[in-house]
Amino acid sequence: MEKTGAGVVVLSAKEAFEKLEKVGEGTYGKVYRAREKATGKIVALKKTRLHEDQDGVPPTTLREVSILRMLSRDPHVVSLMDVKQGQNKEGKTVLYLVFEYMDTDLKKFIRSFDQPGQNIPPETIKSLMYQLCKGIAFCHGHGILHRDLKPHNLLMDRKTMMLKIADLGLARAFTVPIKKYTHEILTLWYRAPEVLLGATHYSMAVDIWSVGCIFAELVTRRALFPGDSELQQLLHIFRLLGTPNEEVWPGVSKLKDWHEYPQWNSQSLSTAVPGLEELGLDLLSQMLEYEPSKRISAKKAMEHAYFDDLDKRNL
Amino acid sequence: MATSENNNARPQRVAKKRAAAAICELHRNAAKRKRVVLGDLTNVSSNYVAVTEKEIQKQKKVKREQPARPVSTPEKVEERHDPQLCGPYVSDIYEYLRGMEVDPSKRPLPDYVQKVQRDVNANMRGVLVDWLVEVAEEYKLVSDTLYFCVAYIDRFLSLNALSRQKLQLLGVASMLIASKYEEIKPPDVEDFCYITDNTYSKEEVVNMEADILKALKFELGGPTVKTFLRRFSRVAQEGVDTSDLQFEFLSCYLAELSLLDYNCIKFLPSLVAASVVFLARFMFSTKTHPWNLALHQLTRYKPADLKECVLNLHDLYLSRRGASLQAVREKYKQHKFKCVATTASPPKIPLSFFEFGGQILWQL
Repeated sequence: MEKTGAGVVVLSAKEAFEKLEKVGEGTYGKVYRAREKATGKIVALKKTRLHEDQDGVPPTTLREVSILRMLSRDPHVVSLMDVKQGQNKEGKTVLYLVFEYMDTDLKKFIRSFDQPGQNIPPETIKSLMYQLCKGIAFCHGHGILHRDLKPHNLLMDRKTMMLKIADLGLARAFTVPIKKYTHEILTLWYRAPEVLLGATHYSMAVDIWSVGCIFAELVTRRALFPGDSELQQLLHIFRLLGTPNEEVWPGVSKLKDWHEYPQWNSQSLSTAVPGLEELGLDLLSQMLEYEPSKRISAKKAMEHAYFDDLDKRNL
Repeated sequence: MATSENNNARPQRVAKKRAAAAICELHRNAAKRKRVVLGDLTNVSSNYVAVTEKEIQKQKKVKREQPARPVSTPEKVEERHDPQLCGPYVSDIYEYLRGMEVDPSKRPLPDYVQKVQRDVNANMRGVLVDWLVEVAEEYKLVSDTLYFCVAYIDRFLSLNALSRQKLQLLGVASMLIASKYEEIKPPDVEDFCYITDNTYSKEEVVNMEADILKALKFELGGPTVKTFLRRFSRVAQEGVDTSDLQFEFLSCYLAELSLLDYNCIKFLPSLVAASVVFLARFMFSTKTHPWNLALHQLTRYKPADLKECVLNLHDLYLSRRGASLQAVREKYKQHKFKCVATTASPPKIPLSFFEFGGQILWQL
């Protein structure tokens, strides 16, 4: 317990919360479901170890907290309620990020449709996709790239079917014009081809590629491009969309990691994503455009005819 | 500010400085000077010590290797990526940033030295920032890191009184935070201890980092002068009789000079950026009105709005203010920055350039 100058008592994380169960583990620590003692409210506690080799707050935590302070007011971005400091059993300082609790994530939700022929209802897919586009449009409109969009990082409330973007540890504020950023980002399966080919100047389009991959996965319940190495990942993409060249993607052959690749012609998206309606396929194809500047924006995606018959009032 | 016992000077990249000095026809001995670790901050002038070539070579051997980092030149116009990649969001982001820059919770107090500080004054702040410019150069940090760092310092000092002994600690801890936020590979805590000649321990730097984060409530983003300068530069360069790179480097130089001056804190980052553009355009074309309709629409400032800040920047440029602060000036005398710090400027800006009326068509 700590007394501030104004005489206000600030409770430590240990005093303020009762840990209920471990629900996950990240790069820098564990995530717990916990109860706030004062209110009884269920929260998610993300524990971050500090003073590992005395390097202070990890850059990912620093960025995540800072960015969430900017974005948390959007209904489709997970709400960071508080940041608390505490001590672990060894007396080391730990930082607790207090988030609103969501009972599942999109990865678990997709997995729950595990029976053959048991598909996610098309209207559910449409609603989730609209919410995802809305959340990403909000991030991009505030100059934030997520850079690690994948089903596991999209939290959900099963009851309300509300979707929220989470885990902004790899997110960063970007500048206009775009500067150089690291290309060691993003889980392989959802990684945009420009990043795989070594581009260091990239933009919102990397997030849209990930959104496209997630869209396809919602329909088929399996990853669209499940590569197990950077090369295999590229080959998965090329097999479906055709091997890119200067004609379809000007400048591709000048990217740092471009090599001569096997030549494939593009396949129809409907073969890879059967069951997706015509308008959905059109939107998906615009999300999976090779040339980043031609890829649809989240803002434009929200206006796509695919969403015309969706009741957007509560989204 | 804490002075270390042995007062070892920090090694500089002397060969590069000498080459730049030769090209820019600087004084021959300027390249041989070395900046000491920040000394007594009550002494307003920057502390320099002369060292021999032999000593420099000796120190170079003992200095532990620094990690390689990308060169910290401002982004070349030719290398910039197509901003249309942000096309649908450019105006959204700009509106958001303009709103964010006026948010009082993200603004330093314009008079914190008088209102909050008891032991720290504006001159000490200037010496600290000047030294941090060198630190950013030494570790090849991107310019945004420097701007964020100075913003954190000013915001922290607006909230907490600090002893002068801790001012350098605040500086390096702010640079550490800014590096973690902005750099691809930030320097280690040890690097920041090392540049203070180990005046502060790792623990002290990390604890100060925690204090800053708590004071700033982890709100580390937000627009800086550099943010708006990027936004304005395309339009700003049009119709200027010089290369894009020359113009860009002069703008970067003027913007970094603004960081040194406590009196610039009162101006919004967008206003400083617009003033930088105004002054740079004036310096490259002294007879032509520096402002036009496109710049007015883009920046939303009239010349009259910029007058005080432009004159302030002009005084800084001509060393009528902050003359003892040399790091930024030396930096932009280098050939890699096209020696823009040696660009000629008239001693006065015609006051008519700040007024309405006359033959200026863009004025509404």
